[in-house]
Amino acid sequence: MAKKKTSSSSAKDKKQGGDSPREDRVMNVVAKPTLSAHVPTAPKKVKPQYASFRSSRKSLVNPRRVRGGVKFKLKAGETPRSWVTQRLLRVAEQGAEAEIYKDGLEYARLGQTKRLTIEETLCEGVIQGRSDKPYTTTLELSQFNAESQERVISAMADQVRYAAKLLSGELPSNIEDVFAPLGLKLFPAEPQDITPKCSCPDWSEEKPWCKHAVCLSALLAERMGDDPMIIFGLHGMPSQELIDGLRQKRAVGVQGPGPAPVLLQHVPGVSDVPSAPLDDSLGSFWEVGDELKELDTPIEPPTLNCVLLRRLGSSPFPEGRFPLIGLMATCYQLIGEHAIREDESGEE
Amino acid sequence: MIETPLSASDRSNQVIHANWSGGHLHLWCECPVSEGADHEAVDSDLPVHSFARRPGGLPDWISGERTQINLRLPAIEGSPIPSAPMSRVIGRDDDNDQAAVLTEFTLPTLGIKPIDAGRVLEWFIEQNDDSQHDADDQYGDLGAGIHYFVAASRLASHLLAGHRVVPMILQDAQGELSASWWPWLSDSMTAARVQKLVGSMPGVARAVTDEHAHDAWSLTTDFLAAVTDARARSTMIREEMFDTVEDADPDADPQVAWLLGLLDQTEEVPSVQGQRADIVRKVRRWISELEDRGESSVWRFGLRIAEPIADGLPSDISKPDDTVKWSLSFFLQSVDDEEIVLRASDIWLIQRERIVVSGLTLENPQELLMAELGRASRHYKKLEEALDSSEPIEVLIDSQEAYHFLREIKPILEEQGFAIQSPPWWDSPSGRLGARLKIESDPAEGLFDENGDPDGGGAQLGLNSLVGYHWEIAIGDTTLTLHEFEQLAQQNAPLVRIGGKWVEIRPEDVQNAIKFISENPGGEMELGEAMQLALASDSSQTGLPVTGLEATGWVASLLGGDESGASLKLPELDAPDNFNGTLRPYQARGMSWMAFMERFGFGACLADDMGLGKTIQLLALLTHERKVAGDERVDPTLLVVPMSVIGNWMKEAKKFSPDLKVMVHHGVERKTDDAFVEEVNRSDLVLTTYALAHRDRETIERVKWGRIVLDEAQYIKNPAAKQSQAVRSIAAPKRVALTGTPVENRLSELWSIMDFLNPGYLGASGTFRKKFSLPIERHRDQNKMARLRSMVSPFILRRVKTDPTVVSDLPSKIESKEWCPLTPEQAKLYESCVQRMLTDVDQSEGIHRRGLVLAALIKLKQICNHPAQMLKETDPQFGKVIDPMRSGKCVRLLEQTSELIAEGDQALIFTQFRQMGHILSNMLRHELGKEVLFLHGGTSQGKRQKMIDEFQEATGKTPILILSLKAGGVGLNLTAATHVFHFDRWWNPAVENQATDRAYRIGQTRTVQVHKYIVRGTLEERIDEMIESKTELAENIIGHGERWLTELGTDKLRELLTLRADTIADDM
Repeated sequence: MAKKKTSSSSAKDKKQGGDSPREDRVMNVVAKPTLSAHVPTAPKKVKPQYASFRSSRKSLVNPRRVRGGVKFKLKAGETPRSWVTQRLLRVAEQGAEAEIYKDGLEYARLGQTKRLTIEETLCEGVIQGRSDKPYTTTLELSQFNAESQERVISAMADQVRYAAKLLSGELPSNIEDVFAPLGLKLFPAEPQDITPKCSCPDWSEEKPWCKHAVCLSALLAERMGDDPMIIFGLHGMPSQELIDGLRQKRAVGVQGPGPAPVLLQHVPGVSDVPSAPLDDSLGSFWEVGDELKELDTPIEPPTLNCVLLRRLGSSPFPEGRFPLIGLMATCYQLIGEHAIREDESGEE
Repeated sequence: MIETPLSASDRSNQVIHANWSGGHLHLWCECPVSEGADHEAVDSDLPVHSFARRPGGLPDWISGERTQINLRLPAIEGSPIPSAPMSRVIGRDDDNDQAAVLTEFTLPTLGIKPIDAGRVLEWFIEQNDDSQHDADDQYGDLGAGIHYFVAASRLASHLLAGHRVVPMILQDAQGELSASWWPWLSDSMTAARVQKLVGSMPGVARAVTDEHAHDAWSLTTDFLAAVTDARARSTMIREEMFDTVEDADPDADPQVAWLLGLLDQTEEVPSVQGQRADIVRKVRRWISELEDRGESSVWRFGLRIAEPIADGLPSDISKPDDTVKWSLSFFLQSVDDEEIVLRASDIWLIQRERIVVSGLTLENPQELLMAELGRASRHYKKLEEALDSSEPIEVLIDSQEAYHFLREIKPILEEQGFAIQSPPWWDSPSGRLGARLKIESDPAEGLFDENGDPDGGGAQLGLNSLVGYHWEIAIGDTTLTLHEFEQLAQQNAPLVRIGGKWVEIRPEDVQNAIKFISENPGGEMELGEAMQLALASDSSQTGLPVTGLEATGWVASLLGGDESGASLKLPELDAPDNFNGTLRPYQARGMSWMAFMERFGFGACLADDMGLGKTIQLLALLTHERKVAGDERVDPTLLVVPMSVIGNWMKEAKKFSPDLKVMVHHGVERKTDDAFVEEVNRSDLVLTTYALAHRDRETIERVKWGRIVLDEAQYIKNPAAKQSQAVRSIAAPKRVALTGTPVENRLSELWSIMDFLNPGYLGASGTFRKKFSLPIERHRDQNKMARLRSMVSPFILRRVKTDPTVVSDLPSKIESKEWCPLTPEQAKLYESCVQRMLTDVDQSEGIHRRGLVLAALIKLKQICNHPAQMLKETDPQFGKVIDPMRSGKCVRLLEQTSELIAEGDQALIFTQFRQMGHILSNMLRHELGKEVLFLHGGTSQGKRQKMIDEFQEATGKTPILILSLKAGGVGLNLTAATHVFHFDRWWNPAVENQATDRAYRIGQTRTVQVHKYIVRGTLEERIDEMIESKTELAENIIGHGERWLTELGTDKLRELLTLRADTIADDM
């Protein structure tokens, strides 16, 4: 759920006045379409904002220059490729005053950010301004508690198309369809969905959107465009956990109440591709596919004995005293030999 | 309820299906006729499948649980439609099955436990093998589910044999833990196999309605997991591995708890609540190491191992000085393009955090290098040294370490997704020690006199002849002298340099080589034995790899050729001048090859494609040998053929080799005992059938045969069949097999033919089966296939129509007549029809008489096609497959179509009779197991176009298109066909050519073979003779069809229509 926060004054100042109706308007005009549309079309008035920046005002921002800083790559006038980037930029733009937004974006382009880290739930930047010492800026999102996480995983596991995409490390385009019914927001839709903090003198609880916050948001927006899975971590739900959870869920869901392996295997192009509906297979219902003719299954001892065991290394239980790996090696040997012998004797 | 056992004929008409559900393999039988739903066998609210039965009458060792499953199957108006294999069994046209929708049914099944699933599935495959069992004792046809799950079961065997399983922990909804031997599928080689398997899953195999929700991956992995665990576990139980942990305390050591769930019947892993999360987490992390593909999906870390620089090392055998180091240098490589490589030494020079190489972005190259180096060092401790350096580029290792790296570490790192660049000599056959067999034989030239006969009647040649041999120790092509080898043995180093090249010397190889050489000093052995040793043995027999065979003299000539015989260095023979025909160059080569093989006492198999003229090559050989012998009598040749081609051989022999005295041994009036021997001794070529070769075996064995030839040698594909045994036992010094099917792909057929040609060469059939058939047929084992091929290829000459050496010699159209016999049933019908007609016409006149004659003629043509056509035994639209054995033409058609399908060709079959088209399409569908298209006057325009498109696509699924002539007349373009059959005749070349031209027309790039079917001794043959005579009468015939016949007087009719006795088949 979006955090309860005093609506930022900067947002109010920014455009077309309206006070209380504005909240609704934001929900209606901006947030709502994004819940269902794949790529939210930016409201017309916003788009020129990328362009308007073009009057390169270097004179106005004059920070100490940084070498090798993290740079915002999107050029003035360009529209971001990813809807995720677009969305975050728009939220920052709504949060900050117009001039501050422009300056922050300029900082981002100049590469004023000495370091950008995304660790656990925190996005942190060390940003060089005009003073000697750089400021430390952070961005945070609302945290999904354990119960919400469980619900998210269940909801996604139910939908094969989400599970498949996520398991292959991609973000399904209509992912927000899953979150909306749960009353959760995955991507920020309005300024108060993000909590910026900064060590600069301009920052305050009331006006949290300083130019460093904008700068950091822009960089995060771009990074997230390349790797949208970051968003889960920021909500307190590391993507690996999500994927594991999803696999587990899917396995349990598929296999009913029976036991599920602690690690589900992944075979790209197979495990992540759900079968076509059975009704669509009527054309070849009774015949095996031609690929089967190419399947070879030679029965041979391995070129390197117990190769999987060797790859796994020492026992997962270092504290245990039983010589697990040694015994396993004997087991592999026996299993392999029996398989070869059984195949040779073949018949009944 | 007790299932009534099915009779044999019911059984061979059933189709057996398999599904996987609830941890059991469910078998069910589909019956050809519904006996109503078997409600007693199941308990269900759903409709019960009325054609399905629980399998009964199985061997005792197959035991299962009487159970049931629910399947969603295609049905029309709530009634299940027959499966595709069942449609073929009953000859049903499944054109209208598109209207079917999936409907859920309950089926009674036999539930097989995972441990038995593999054996049971293999049994079904086995019993359905035509070369092992006659159709009558087969249990039933196989549904796609059987084929699918047997492939999955074989994959499980492959994984078990190759140690591709992991111990797994499982957790259920209550949190309880269990353990299992789990098939590991994620590695690239296995993943590729799994992809092929899952991608081929037929709808019927995932039709079961259960928690897998028809998902192919889910069902398949569940099956694989169950089968793999069951087999591994049974091994553990048999080996009593449980004893090793019996005394250990599972509470004190989770490893013990885990093992308790792996080594015995129970899967349960005893654990307390608090421990579980820890066990789950640790095991998950442990196994996920196997899936760890590194930091980057675009770049992979690699190690390059390089030999010490050779400078300063002596050039003969030398063990490298241990101070000389091998280097293991690091690099990053593009995952998609191995050519894009960044060496570590260059990476440390990069100043930026992000670079672009050949269009690929690389972020923080130095960090990636370090991270991946760290990951690799987990598998190879030696790399940890490099981690201490600030800018590591390589580690140095000595040659013992290099060997260890190459032999043990390299495969592990490669499987973990690292790239390893090793020197080219590593793992190449030329870089390893092996034994090479050297065979010495006399030069071919000296062995024969000018007539090509063995000089002075000396030693018996052939595979049993003794040849001198000795073994050599070699590395690649380099033979080692004893001195060199002793030096090597003293080195006791795994990697040495010989003659400037690095070579892997496995310590065990050296020991084995010494032992082998001392035990095998050389001498003489039988050629067949030597070839088996050199071509087919694996290192388990010799102790070290056999790397080749080198021969001198005539053995070299035998082994010198390739499959097409093009590179054979043989004395080229020409057709003798009393041979009444010209041999094309490849045919002359084929004859020369057979002559060469016979001279040396080898049986030879001429396996040219249909249409390349095997008959003519053999006839030329026979004529040639008599020419060479001059006045001397040459022992006769026994030619065993299927009944259906006896007429062809007679006609061809008469045409091409008129001097040959041909005797036909068949029919009720055939000669017996002394009369037989007498006549044979006056003949050159004796034709008989497979059936008689068995039945008259004792008589036949009284003759001293010069040669025995099998035509259509695939007839002996079942080695255990009586006919096969009979022909194998007939003694003759020269043995030839002719076949048009690619024998190498049908292993029991190959064995049977080879054992006929060169008895004993491939070993006993049981041994052969174990050593070659099973690995190749079940598992597509490429190594075994290659080994077998190298063993048999010297004895098989196979040219295909597309061979460059052949294609230029071929005309664009080959027309041939197929002379078919009448079966006794046909003959009886034919004669009574003629008699009735002659009586009737005698008593009538004018139009009435003409009508009678015409009606009778049509009947006679129908009888020649198949008795069932004349007797109207079948409602063309439905069911009932007509037995092809009742018609000589049908038998021949089946032989030819199955041969051309095996060669990958397609065919058009023309008939004048729509009803015959229906009979043929059902019959061929049933016998060939392929969909058959039938285009006739009643086919709608849309359907017609669809059929033509399907046929022209040439997918191999619909290789046969039948056309009733009127429909197939003009306009159609059917160039996907290279064979055209005229099943019955119009007696009008123009009309027939028009039909032939559907395939033989612009756009056709291959040779078209036209087969015109004629039944010998009947009006078909007489009319053909008349047309060929090109007389005035012939003009009449061509111009007016059969009308002229009606004008003939009764005596003329009698002369024309009366059967000749010798043309009737006594047994097909």
